[in-house]
Amino acid sequence: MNTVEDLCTLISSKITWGRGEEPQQLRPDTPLLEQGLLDSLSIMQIVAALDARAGIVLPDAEIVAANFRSPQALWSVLEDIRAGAAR
Amino acid sequence: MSDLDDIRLDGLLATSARRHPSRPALTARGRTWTYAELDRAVDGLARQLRSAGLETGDRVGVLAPKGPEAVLGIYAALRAGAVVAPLDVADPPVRTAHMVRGAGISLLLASDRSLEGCRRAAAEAGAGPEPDEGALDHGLHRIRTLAPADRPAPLPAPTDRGGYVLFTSGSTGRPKGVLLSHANVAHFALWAAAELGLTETDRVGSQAALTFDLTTFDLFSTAAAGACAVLMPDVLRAFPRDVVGWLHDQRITAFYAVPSLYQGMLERGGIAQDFPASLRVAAFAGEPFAPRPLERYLHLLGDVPFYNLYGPTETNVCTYSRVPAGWTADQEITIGRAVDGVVVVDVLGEDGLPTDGTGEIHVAGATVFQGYLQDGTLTDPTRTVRFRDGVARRAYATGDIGRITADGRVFLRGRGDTQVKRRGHRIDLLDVESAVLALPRVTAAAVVAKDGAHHGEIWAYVQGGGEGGAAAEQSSEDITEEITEDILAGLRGLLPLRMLPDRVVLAAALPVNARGKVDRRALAARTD
Repeated sequence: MNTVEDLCTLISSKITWGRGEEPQQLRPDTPLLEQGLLDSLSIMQIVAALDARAGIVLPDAEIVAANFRSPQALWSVLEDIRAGAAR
Repeated sequence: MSDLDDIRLDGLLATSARRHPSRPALTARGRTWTYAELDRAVDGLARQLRSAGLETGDRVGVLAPKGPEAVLGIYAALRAGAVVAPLDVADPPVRTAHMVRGAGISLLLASDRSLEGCRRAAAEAGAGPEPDEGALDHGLHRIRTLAPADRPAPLPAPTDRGGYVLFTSGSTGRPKGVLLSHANVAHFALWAAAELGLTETDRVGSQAALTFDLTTFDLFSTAAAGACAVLMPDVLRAFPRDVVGWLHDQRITAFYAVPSLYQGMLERGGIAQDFPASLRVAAFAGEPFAPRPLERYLHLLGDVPFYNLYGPTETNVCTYSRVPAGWTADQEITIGRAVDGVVVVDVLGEDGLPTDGTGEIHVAGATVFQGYLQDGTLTDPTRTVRFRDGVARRAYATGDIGRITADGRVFLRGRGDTQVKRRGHRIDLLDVESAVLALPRVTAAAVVAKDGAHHGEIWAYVQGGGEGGAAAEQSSEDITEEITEDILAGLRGLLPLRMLPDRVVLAAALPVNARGKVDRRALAARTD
């Protein structure tokens, strides 16, 4: 989990894509919520995967729509959490 | 016949507009409409729809994200005399097209944001390459799905003059349209407004999708009371923390939601630490509330009444109970008594006679629906049943198993068929199974609700489904993953997210029971 692209890959793996939809089309600025790509279950799976694969524990207070509106928005939160942990 | 039988849902709005013209009626996306403004906008839109060719009894689908356009579209079509079906923008166009065709919908209303998706659904429903389309006021658009000459004849009375359709998961793979008359919904709306004590000072928080029967309370009980309907943006629904923040920010006084959302707010939303002080009454429905979280809520709510409402979409709410403040998790929870003066509820055994033991819950009365709209026809599944008071009534068999006590309290005991509830959504397992079986190369499938460690999950056991020509260097594990992902991708095009199986398991063969049928019980109990 070194780049926002890695995060895109992780999020993409938790989305059930339809036929003809290209999972790799997920970009840092893809409006995840507006496009209806996430539901409550996939959000919890992303949170669990961040913990399992990258050791990042997203506090409940950060599991809000504003942080999941795009991969970039979530990436900014992860960077803040890591900066906080490094301090 | 009661004097309520002539009442119209759009009439509830008109009455409040006369009584409280300057009170807030609707708050959505940062804007508030007064009753006078909302009623005037609805009138104007209804006139536009009539001049665009809408006739009394036509069926109209409203395919717009939850927002002012959707509410205006619903009310305007009702006022224009249409049978109105709210539709979900998150549903795949193929599924929406099933609903459009099955219910005989001749016109779709969309917002700016849903126009593209609406065009796709219209095309999928066979509207032709360039359907008649036009812009309406307030950011709405209309798309014709059937030429005026092809639209179906009006439905039988009373829905020949309009009505309401809510789609539910059916056992055939095509959604069933639950056809309700104005009076069916209005009887519920007025009763609920009175029982929960709504007044014009209330701010009713509307969180569910407009396709969900919970929202008939949000729209029509609110209008009946002259209160304000506050629409929660769709994107917040998956974030309990945001829902709690929204309850605070919007100073919500009355709230009606599924237990899953209440539990989410308790476990992850921080509602226990920061309880919304404005809340004056709350209600839940749609699935059983887990005992421990329910007990926590009763502590948090204190004097605030907490209602358990029960009833399938087909009957609106038919039983209710105000959960006693002193209720504890070791007690059995009742879905309460029949809604007084509106419906009669009884429990019938397998012999079709009222029983004091366990049986199927039957409902009769003013809120019981007209029938299902499916495959272009109306089917009425109700039948005449003699209740324990000796009176024969037109009754709907709910499929819910329960028992009734001598004082009329009903206790639920699960289902007698393939319908399940997951996160408050009603899902027929056979609906999901039909979708799996519709995929190419699938030869057999069984979709089951799991027991044990995976309780509450829906798994699809699938035979076949592979491409056949997998590359030789691929491991069998890779091939399995590829096939299950392909099956899920195929299902994504046929089913809404809320109905997708939690897991797809490839099976060489499905187990059969002594009668040679697929052994669903064995599959439900399997740990893999």
